[in-house]
Amino acid sequence: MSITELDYNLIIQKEKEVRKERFKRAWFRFKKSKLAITGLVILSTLLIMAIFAEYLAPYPEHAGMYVNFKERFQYISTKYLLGTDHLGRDIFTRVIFGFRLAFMMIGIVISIVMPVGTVLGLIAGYYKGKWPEHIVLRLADMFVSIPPLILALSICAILEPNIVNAMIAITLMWWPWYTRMVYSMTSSIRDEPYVWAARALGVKDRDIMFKEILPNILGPILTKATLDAAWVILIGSAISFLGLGAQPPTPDLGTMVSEYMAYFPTYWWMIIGPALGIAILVMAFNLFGDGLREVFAGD
Amino acid sequence: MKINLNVLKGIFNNAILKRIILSLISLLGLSLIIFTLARIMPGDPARMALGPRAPEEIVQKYREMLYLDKPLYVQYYYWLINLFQGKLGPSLTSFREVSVDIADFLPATLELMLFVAIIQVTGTLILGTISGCKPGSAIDGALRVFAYIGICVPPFVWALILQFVFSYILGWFPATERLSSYIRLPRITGLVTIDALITGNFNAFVDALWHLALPSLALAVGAMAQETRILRSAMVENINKDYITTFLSHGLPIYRYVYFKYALRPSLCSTIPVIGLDIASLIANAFMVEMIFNWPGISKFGITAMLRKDLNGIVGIVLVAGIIYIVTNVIIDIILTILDPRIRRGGQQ
Amino acid sequence: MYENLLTVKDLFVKYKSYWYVYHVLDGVSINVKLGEKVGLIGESGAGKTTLLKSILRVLPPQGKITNGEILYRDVNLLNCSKQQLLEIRRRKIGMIFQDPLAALNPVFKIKEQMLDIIKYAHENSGMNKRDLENIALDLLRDTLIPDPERVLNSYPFELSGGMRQRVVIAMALASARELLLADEPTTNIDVTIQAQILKLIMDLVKKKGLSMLLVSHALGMVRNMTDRIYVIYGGNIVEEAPTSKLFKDPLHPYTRLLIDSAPKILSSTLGEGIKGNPVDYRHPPSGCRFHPRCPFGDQEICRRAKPPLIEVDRDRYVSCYLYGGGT
Repeated sequence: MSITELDYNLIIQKEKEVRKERFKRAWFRFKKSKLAITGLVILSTLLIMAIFAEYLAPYPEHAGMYVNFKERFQYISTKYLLGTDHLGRDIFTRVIFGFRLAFMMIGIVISIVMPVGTVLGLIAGYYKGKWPEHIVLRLADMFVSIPPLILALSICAILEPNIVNAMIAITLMWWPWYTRMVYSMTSSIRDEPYVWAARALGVKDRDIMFKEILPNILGPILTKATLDAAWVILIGSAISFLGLGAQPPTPDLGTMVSEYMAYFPTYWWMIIGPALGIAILVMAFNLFGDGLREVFAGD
Repeated sequence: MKINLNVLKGIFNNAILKRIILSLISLLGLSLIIFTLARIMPGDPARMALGPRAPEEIVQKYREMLYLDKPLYVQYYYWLINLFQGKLGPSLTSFREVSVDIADFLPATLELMLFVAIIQVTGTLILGTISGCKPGSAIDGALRVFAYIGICVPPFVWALILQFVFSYILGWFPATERLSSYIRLPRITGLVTIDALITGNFNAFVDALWHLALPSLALAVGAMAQETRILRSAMVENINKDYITTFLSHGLPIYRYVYFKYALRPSLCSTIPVIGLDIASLIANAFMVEMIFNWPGISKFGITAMLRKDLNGIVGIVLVAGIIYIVTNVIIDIILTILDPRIRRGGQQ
Repeated sequence: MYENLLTVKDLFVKYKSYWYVYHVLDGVSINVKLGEKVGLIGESGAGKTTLLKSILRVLPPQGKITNGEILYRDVNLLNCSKQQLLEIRRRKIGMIFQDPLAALNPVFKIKEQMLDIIKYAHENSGMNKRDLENIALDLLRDTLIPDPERVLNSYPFELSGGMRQRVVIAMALASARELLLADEPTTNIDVTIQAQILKLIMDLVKKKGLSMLLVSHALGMVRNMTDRIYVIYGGNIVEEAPTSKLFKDPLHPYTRLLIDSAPKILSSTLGEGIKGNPVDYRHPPSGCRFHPRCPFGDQEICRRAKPPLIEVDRDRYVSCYLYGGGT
């Protein structure tokens, strides 16, 4: 083994140790952070409610096509925790299923945007000054030049207004912001010693990006993903609210708000359900994201 | 504070001009994408607009009018030519020229944006500085809770709450529309408040403000919550800085000078970008709130266009919204450059 | 009694953070007589800056004065009226700060900052802007700044470190008619300019007839500039003596170690330093706060109670049981 290879291994070793230390400290700080714990608790509760919606909701069949005109417009009671809507469906049940829809949407969108956005951002940041950076950045800039909601709305409009297309629209709207953040972090890290040590030794670019740079920016990426998730829910519900997302009778929280708004203010309690649902969901993600930020920032 | 020519020259020599041009190019590129997508999608817009019962010849005439039967690049070519003439093509919902439609509806939204901006900025400044000067006090605690709620509740929910409480329950404000029906006002600029002032119709002015109150508040509350939080933490950080101690030790009046002048200005440097982003996003958030208050702004036109697949309308809205977004961002950048000399003269921050 | 310009008696100051209370100043008493130049030496974290800030009552919000008196002439700064306090800040006492870059507001021109200060230093004199500017220019010229006009129109980050400190000195002079408080005035400046700045301060003090309280951990500087010195450790005054006597014959163990640790030109060895760690103000040592690090500090009596300040010789005071004071 040549001397430079020894040095390289030493550097890698040191990095691994540092990383483990960071992890341990991060976990400790996480346990101490009230925000993070609260957010996590609320999120998990909502998630469990969403997953086991059929078993937890009092009237699971109300989530879909169900009509019971006798029970329309019931006020809040022990029988119908949030009242019933204009078709006699239990609002509480629909809100729970609405959570499920929201989590599903977030899950799918994140699982596309995070990998793709991260990879693109890494590539753009790593190959700074060369063509990949220009292409990715110009592409991202195009999507960033208009307010996100309008972009999402137009895409939904062009495609059929339904929930799948809403997800596509949100994905397309979200990825440039994500990529830009990863890009800026990558490009500031790429000049650190361990990166150019690896380059000097001929480690493949791909390995550098994923094994050196990526683990170091994982923290802020996760934080941003969580905080963005809150934003995505807001935009998603706005899209449905405007009628370009999930259509009735799908129990989407935004759609419900717009449906029930028609009976405002006479049957004013109907809106409480979905509106509160959106607010709690967004708050949970925000709390958790803020907590994550505390955890990773105190390094 | 004097703004002399040198400052302006400094601003425009640097990246801002480049930014504007780049953004415009991006916007054009985006509109091309949307344009293409719109044309490619299956479905016959002309048929959809005219309805299933319309006779075929009329539908064909419309197709020709929109060049729908020509290849894509021809369509784009005609669209570009129209663009340079300031026209955006005929709308399929109103059957008028899109730019005329937008010009009809845009002032209402702009007026709303203006008022929201005013409320937002003054509110944030007042609440943020007070909260920052007295951290840990009751006001501060209340504000922080409020800030959190404000971030999490979407603007349309705020709109509903405000409408419910202040209009239906308390009856203090009107629930919808821009003007009461008995007011007659000529349309000069399209901004109702300005028009009222120009024509000297004080009643109309007050009436317009009264109608503007709730929608503006609905949009402002959410944004104010977050901005106040940022301003507050910036103030707290800056008040503990050494230069504030300097001024205190020289006996300058504590509130008027030390806090409101020498601590506020640096704090603003980190708050203004956020305010700017929020104001720029107003054009998008207005979409939601306008529906609730039945505000005759571009969202009404836009949503209808989108639901009815009015292609020119959609592309037109995207372009106009994008331009407003870019312009607002540039204005905010200029303000920031004036406030923070470090950006201008290249010092470190 | 006007002989004492500034009297600090038994000052207790603590900082309160979210989880801990830091008991920094533990009964500090010093005084500055009219026309005197007094030095305060101690290591970083001993409470020197806290003391200065307490005098002008510009402590951060977490800092609280819990006990003691601060008399300027005959006004107790701790319970005087707001107006009196402002009066003293504007026209009697001025302060020079440690880090000139941090002490100047980065987003305002120097002119604006100085004019505001001068305006309040000359309140009620009915001057207009032109007069204030002239005063500012005069002050800048006093501090030997070669191009006062240019400096006035600049922002702090455009000036060099030495220039900035001169500006801070000029600002202090605007409000310091009687007493100058100097907090490590050259610590953050290039070594090559330190001598100039120090000479400048001395000249100005002499010219304007100011009294001075100079705080530093640079022993050489304090030795050259002061008539009398207090030594502070861990929030307590441990020794007080005229300058020459202090350096010739330090009494307190801490002072001795301090002076020995400083490298001297004529000797070829470095001092040994002081063992142990600085005081943890959250849980300060019982009794004499120096006893964990003191070569003689293992006595029961050192642990039990803080040694009182005893007059050992004319004008010399020590707080150490080695010189008496134990019962």
